[in-house]
Amino acid sequence: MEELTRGTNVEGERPLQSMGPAPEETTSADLVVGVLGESDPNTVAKMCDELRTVPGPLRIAVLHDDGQEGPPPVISETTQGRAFVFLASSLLPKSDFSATGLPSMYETYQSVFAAAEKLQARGCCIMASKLESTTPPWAWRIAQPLFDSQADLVLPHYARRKFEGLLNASILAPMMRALYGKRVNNPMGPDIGVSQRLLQKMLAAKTTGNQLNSLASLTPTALCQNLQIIEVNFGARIYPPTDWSNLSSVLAEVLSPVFLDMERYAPFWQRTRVSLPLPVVGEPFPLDQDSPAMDTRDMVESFQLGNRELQEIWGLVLPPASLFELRKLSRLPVEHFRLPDELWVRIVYDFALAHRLRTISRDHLLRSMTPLYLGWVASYAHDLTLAGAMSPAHRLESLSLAYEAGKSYLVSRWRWPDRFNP
Amino acid sequence: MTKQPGSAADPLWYKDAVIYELHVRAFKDSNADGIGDFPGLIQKMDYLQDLGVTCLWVLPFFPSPLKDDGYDISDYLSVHPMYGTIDNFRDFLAAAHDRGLQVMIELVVNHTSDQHPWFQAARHAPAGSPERDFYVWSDTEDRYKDVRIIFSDTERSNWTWDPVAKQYYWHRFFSHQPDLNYDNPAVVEEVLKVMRYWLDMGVDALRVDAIPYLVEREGSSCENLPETHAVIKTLRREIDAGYSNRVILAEANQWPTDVLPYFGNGDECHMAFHFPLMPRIYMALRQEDRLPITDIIAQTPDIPETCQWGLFLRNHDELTLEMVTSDERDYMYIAYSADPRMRLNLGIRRRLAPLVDNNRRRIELLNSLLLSFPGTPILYYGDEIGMGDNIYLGDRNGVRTPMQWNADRNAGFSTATPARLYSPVIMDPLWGYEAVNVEAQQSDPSSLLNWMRNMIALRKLFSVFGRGSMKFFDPANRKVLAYMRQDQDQRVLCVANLSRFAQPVDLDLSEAEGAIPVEMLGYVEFPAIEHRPYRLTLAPYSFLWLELQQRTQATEASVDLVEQSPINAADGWEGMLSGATGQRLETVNFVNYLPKQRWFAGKSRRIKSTRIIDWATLRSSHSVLVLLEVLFDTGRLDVYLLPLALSFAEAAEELQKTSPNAIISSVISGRKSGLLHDAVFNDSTCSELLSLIENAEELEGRHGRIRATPGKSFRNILGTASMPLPVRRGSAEQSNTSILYGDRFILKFLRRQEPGLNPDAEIGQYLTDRAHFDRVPPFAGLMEYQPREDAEPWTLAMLQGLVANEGDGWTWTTEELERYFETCAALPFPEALREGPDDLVALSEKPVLELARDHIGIYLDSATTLGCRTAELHLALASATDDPAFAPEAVPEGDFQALLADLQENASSVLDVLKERVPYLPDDMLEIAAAVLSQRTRILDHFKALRTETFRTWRTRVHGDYHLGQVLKVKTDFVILDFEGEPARPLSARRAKHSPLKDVAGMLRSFSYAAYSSLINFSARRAGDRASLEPWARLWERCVATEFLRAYRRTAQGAVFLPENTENFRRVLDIFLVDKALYEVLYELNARPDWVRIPLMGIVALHL
Repeated sequence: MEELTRGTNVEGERPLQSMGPAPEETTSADLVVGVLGESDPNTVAKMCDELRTVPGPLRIAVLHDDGQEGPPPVISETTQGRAFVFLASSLLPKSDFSATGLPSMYETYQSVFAAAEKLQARGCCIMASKLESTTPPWAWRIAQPLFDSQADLVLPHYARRKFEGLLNASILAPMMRALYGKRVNNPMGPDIGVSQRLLQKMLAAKTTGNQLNSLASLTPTALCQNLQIIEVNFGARIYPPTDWSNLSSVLAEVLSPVFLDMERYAPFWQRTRVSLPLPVVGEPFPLDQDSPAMDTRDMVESFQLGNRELQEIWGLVLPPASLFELRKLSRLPVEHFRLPDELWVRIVYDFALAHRLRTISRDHLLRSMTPLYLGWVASYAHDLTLAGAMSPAHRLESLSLAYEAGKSYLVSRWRWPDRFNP
Repeated sequence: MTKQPGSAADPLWYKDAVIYELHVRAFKDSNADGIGDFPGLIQKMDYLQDLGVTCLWVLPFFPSPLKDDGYDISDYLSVHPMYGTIDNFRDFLAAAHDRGLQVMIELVVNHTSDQHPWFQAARHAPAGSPERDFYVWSDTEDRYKDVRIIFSDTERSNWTWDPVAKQYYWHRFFSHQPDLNYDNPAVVEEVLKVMRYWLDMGVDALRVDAIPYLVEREGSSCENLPETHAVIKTLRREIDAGYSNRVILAEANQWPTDVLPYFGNGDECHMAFHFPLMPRIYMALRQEDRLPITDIIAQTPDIPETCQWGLFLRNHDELTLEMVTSDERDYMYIAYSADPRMRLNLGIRRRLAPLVDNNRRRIELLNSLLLSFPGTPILYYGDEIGMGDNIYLGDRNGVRTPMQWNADRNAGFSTATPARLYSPVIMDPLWGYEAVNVEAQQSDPSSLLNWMRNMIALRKLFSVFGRGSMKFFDPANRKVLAYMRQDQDQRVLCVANLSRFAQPVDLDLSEAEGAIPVEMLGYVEFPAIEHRPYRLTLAPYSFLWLELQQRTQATEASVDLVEQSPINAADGWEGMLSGATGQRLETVNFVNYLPKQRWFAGKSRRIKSTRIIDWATLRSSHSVLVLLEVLFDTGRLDVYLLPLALSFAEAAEELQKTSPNAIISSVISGRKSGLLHDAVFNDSTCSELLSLIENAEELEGRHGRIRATPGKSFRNILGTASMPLPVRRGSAEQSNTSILYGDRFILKFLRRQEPGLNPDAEIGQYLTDRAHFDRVPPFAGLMEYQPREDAEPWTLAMLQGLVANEGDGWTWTTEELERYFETCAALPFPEALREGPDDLVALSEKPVLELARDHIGIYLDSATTLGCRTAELHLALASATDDPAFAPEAVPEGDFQALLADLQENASSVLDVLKERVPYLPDDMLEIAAAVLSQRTRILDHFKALRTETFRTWRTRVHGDYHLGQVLKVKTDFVILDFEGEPARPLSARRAKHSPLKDVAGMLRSFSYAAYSSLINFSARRAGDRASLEPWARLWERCVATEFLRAYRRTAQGAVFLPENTENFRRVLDIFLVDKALYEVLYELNARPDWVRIPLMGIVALHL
């Protein structure tokens, strides 16, 4: 107990009052909060304080790597009529907290779900990203709709700067919107709230051999099963710096489960024809849009290199019209380079189809998208840095509309994947 | 053994399944012994997964003497060593489950092999012993003597003498397959043990072989007995109690009504084969007639909700013809088995592709039926690549040859010496493995294999195929089979051409009116379904699967959202109409709102999106006038005028109660919640609009300017009344919205906007201010939008003086006719009035007979007045010779010829449509339709004849859409309304000049409509009077039209626009009458076929 108190000190000056509930009291919880990644103790302690102010007799288990060894620590500072908060970090293997790379992260989400299931929690939320200090208390913010609005999935809507989160903005969010008919802004969180009903579905899928990805599949599963999704306006996320050298792996790891879900849920999304906004909780956070300009020269050169070197793979995936367009684009000088949204959308859809058809090794396939993705990023950067350019929101809305407009192309290709096409 | 789960999560998985039937022996040999085995099958699992099938039905693989291809089992709990071991089977099961596939095996328990230890024990045990009692024995062959012999080619009796037992034993199949005795509980218990053994292992489904024959009873056919059903119920109970998501499939080669009991009340078999359907599919194809299929489906009873038919085109047995009549069987033999070697028992032992002469389109057509009929499709291995057969092999072995994987030795099936193969592979040039194999077809994007894979994947996308209902259509062309599959909100129309030639078909899809058929293979949208028959043309042996998509889906879905998520109105109109909120309004709320409005003319098209192109604020009412561009999925975009207002608190509650349809979204402003809605429902907005006109004010838009102008008569009309005038809203508007101000003004809000002056405002202003014609509502003002200084203004709204009236001319006329028919119904029709010329122009030169006047009464005077007013209108419109917009023009010869050519072409196409629709007309209209069609040449010649002559005709501005509904009855006179023309036509066409006789023809046709529609309504209550009143209706129409014409011609006499003599007047009038009547024919055919008689009578009466 002494060790525990020391380990969870708040801001180094206000010692946590520790109490010793009976062991059986830690075998159940209403809410499980998993704090992943590198969170400093002060932040976590602040979060626990925030959770303790939640009104009502909620039992909240916090899974967090507190650096301790040994039996499950239990702490609380309980006020009458407020939530009871305790640490239950031992429910997760140590390795899960320090997981790096997407595959390990997916595993960790699954472990948190399993812990929530074990504690018979009504919901769980996972805090996986660092948020800017201006962000108000966020753990309860994302958990609250699970209890107050019977939401099954609570997703963040981050305030973002124009060059942040581009993989999400260029593929994940607009494609999910076009496919599943709901305008989800951050379908892969990573900060999320999940109801007991949804987490049970995620866990059950594993036992029936229907492997779902614990993070990527959450949104499609909730949408296809008509579960309620609510978005919560969040502050700005601190994005890890883009590792351009590892971009191919990231693309493959992110897109592979998304494309697998497309295969799994084809009967649903092929019958969805319009997109609608989701209910949103909270006001948007204003954000200074000043971002340093992006140097696109390397990106365009990567695109041009890809166009020279990857013709063999792209030729298996893309129809002649797209290849022809790409060839023309590769001849443009950097400053004039623009990859039209319509073409980009068709490219993404054609890669999804090739993934389904196993045209080539799936990993190779997705990695070969990298130069194309860089081409789109460069175009986006050019569009936003021109004088009198569109706002990022307008630019991305127009991309989303292109995904929606291109959906009939995807459906027809998906249903009749004849290579003899325009 | 630990009980293993099956692989399906959904208890009804078998409804959505695509089953693939295969024989381990024939699929893939892994150990080069010439016989397929489980390790070989495992090697090919990726192929099966890729094909898209979901359940593998494995034919018997148990130890057996193999005298009946494994259906003579000598050990139920093991695997025949030729095929591998029980562990190999487990590996196969695991491999299937890993891929999400289900596995079905055979439960062949009607009989065993005579080598089974149970039979050997029985024959050696004394009679009456428990061992002997496992089978059915008799001292004579006389028991069950009326029972049919199934294998009539090989067996002479169902009894065979056993010299060891010294008794006869019972067998429904071969003599080496003795039937088990289900009257012995020990037998049932042993069968349950067998079943549990495989289900415990994780097997998902059991096909129960020869299920009708389990129990025997004297004096019966020994088929389908209640005692047999009791046994099946026992098996089912065992499954339900111990396992989840497992299935029994019954093999009962019986008539559908006899198979029905095998489903029980959902407590016997989950599935049963539909045997009689299969031969009838082939029969329908060969006869190019859908009847065999529709007939058998009609005789197929409904089955319990949880049950399913198993459908197949071919299987491991012969194409059985047991379930057809002897004539049908003879036909099938002749049609499909020219060589007697192709026949076996009561069937044809051929594979799918050879049966249809290897015609790819026929194969695809049959598979399209298989995959879209109600039931679970079962594919037979090899048929997915169009494998052939070998009729020179005995029994049914010709359709059980090795799977053809590639062009290597033994078709890639085995590396054994060819002579060791259990069966020769097919080697002839057409069907041989070098020509037909998986590898070749995998690399050929156009192969049958790839086609099958795509079709299976497509079927799996739509649960309606496995779970939906089926309804056949009955089009006249019997070579076309058309049916609707429906399950909840999924509707799929399937149409198949059974003929070797292209075929047209008209389908009555009126139940789905408004839906968009989307061709499912290519996701191609077809034209929307309308009330009239839907025409399709099908290539030889082609088929269409069309998903019927509802246009309204998007808007319905977004209703809740609007309620859930209010718009933030705190930032005022600027904040609401721009940025993300504006985008939401454009993409969600307006898209949802517009189709619900009566004035919205784009209901037949799907809105893709909308865009606010300009807006201006009304200063005192805090409302806005918005111009909204609407983009559709097809056709041109439209622009609409949308006034918007916000209401809060009680006003919002009131609006919610009285006019919910006017609400666009909920809003929040600070702490107040309210509604965004159509500002026409806001009195202060309406008052401000009138005030703007009165004061000739201007509003600044974001791009253009709105200008309000009072007419010269504004003050006169306002008189002594003081502003603001009380506001109310008109109720009868369609394309526009009217706001009424006290008893003084009416403001017409023109909803659909186009650049240019609206003809109603233009003519109204001209007639009031310039021509001083007082039989129209006085023009009082205008609101226009000026996009740019140099652009044409758009008319947003027009203000007129309100005219006190007794209703519109149509209502008044039909009320008069009601009284007329009421009086005449009791009277015999006067002989003196019975006959007479129908030439109205000639008639109009003489007064109406007094006898007729006695009956028709004052309406004739009204017709005279209306004729005068119409002529006065035309004279007024032609009076401004200095205004190019109104000055009469001589029609150039070329223009007149072009007009005649257009009218002739239009007449021709309407008559074509009428001819097509004749089969759909009610019987009592056939005669009149035929009469019109018989005049086709005369009608077209009428236009043609005029084209050869030189006519001097004039054109002026006209009303353009003139009929009784466009006049108001004002005491004993009329006021003429609405110069807008047909709103669906472009503004330029509506402002064009025409012969005034077009208006005259419009009113004459309106008299005809009034007479006959009143007759229809009158006789709907008094059906017996219809025939006797018809001459009265004709008399009324003729006399009223005559009076109208006489007054018109008299008043307009000498006008430049009148043709110079009576004959020319008649001929020009006739072309407009024919044109108008044909327009009505087309309208009624599409909208109200029961009313098409009215315009048809009008055409016949013309005597062209």
